[in-house]
Amino acid sequence: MSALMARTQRVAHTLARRWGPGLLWLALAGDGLAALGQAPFVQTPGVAGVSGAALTPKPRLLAPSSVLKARYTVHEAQLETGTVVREYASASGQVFAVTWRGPVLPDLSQWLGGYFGAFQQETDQERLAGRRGAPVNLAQVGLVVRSNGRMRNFFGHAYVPALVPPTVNINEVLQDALQ
Amino acid sequence: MRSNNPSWRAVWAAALAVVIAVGLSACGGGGSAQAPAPPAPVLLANVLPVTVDAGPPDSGYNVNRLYTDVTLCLAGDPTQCQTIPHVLVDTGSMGLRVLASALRPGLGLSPAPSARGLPLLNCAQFVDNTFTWGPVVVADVVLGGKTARNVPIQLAGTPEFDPLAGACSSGTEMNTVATLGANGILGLGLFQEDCGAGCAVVTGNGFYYTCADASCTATVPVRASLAQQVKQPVALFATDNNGLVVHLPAVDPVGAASVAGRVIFGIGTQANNQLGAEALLTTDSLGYITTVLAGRSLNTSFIDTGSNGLFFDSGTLALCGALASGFYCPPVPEVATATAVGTNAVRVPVPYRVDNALSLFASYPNAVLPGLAGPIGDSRTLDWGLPFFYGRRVMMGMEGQPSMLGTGPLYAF
Repeated sequence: MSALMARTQRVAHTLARRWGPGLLWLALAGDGLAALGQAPFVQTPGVAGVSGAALTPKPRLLAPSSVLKARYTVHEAQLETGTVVREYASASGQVFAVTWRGPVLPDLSQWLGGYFGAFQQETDQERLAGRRGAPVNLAQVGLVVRSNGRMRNFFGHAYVPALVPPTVNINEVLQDALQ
Repeated sequence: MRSNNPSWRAVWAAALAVVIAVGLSACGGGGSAQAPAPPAPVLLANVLPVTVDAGPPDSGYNVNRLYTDVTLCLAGDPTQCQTIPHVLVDTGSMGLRVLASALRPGLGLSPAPSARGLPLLNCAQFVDNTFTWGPVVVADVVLGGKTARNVPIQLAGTPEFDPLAGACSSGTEMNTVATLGANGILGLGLFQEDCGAGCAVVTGNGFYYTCADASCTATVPVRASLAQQVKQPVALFATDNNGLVVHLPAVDPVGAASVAGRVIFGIGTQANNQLGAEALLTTDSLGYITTVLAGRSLNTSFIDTGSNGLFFDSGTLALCGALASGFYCPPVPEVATATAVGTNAVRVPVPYRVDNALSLFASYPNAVLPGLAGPIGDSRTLDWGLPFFYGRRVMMGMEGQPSMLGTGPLYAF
């Protein structure tokens, strides 16, 4: 059974969750308040973090969950495509890393927020320089993005080094993301 | 630069390409009325000539990219055909994708309908933040001497089908020769469709869409049955359809302007696709094998003609820096051996070599750079791109298809 079909069956048994009232307010106020560097898209009721929920991205998120680790919170959700996305947020509720794994890429223009422009520019330049059809390996001081895999099996991560909490080892966080 | 002193291998490769071209024209029967040509070796029907070269005109900078010619015909009408040159051969994706701009207007391929009756639209994402977007059409596809009938393919960049939707709404669209670096992509991957069973049951699948109405000013997600999905063409051959063999000649480390090889269809179905000295490695259900490199096990490794280098993390190889971002620049070439391990626990040593990428790029216009490699930013993956294939006969067994090697997906090399 393909990964997408297995996840579809799990989703069918998931109870619908209700977003908090803050979400509606922010939906009316506009977007730009969630993603890498900002509040998480993935919000679960009762989890401490930034006040007010984040705008729900399209497509809608399934089976969201939040796990509190020692120094950060992992917010995880599954897209309808079967792709699993995780946002790693500091104690103040700011997302410092995003990981993904699944048959289709998540919309990185949403999940990377204001950092997507740098990512787009890097991939354009690499293509011009002869790196075509190859994994993305952006490793700059201000942003790290790795995008790997191939059709039906994409995986990758993005993080902002300056936003990683001082006591957190980003490599351990990313290793954990592969489970 | 070594353009004044071509290596004997380059001369041999050029001669082979001429021989293959002569053989093809002899098979096609289109020769002019002159003295009869000397007997040329006849290519078996299941052989598809392929080349690594600089790509079509105005396609940007291409290195280690495998190309072939693909002939498209109106389904059931062999008088209405067009041969598309310089289509990328990509074993990392599934399905044929052709730039709409590369087709002559009179060919008349029309979109296949979705379950809602309006055109079925396909989004194909690639790892480097690019995608192709366009309608599914059904055509006959001729590869070498074999024809696959009624193949769902994608016409990429068809102007009538904006706006870009859903999974194809961010990144760079490949709808021109300049952005794609080719006139199309021939996805010869391990699976039979681009998406698979999930797209038949999930509406928001990220691969398939259809017009919201007849004007098609907006699109909506849609399910697509396995029969409707963009298909790996080999799966639709009547024979020699259980996999393929990629066979490229060895290349001197200094590289070459171009090199010619072949893809052979089928495993164990003809005299030219029998198992030789290759070892069988089975993969997991996602097509992964393990690579053991410097004592570490990289268990989501894969083999892919569509990656134009070897990509893996190294604690010792120097990065090139800004001059060749994303590649390795060791001061002296690194020659080492990794071990490929199948899910059947078969272990195969894989010698590899990493050269200084800046030196390789300086050999422009060489398009064949065997020692090109770079980091990947993932501790569990080794992407064995096109350099893996130079000097190697690689068999790839298709998902669910039996051969004397077993049922795919599987590799033998």
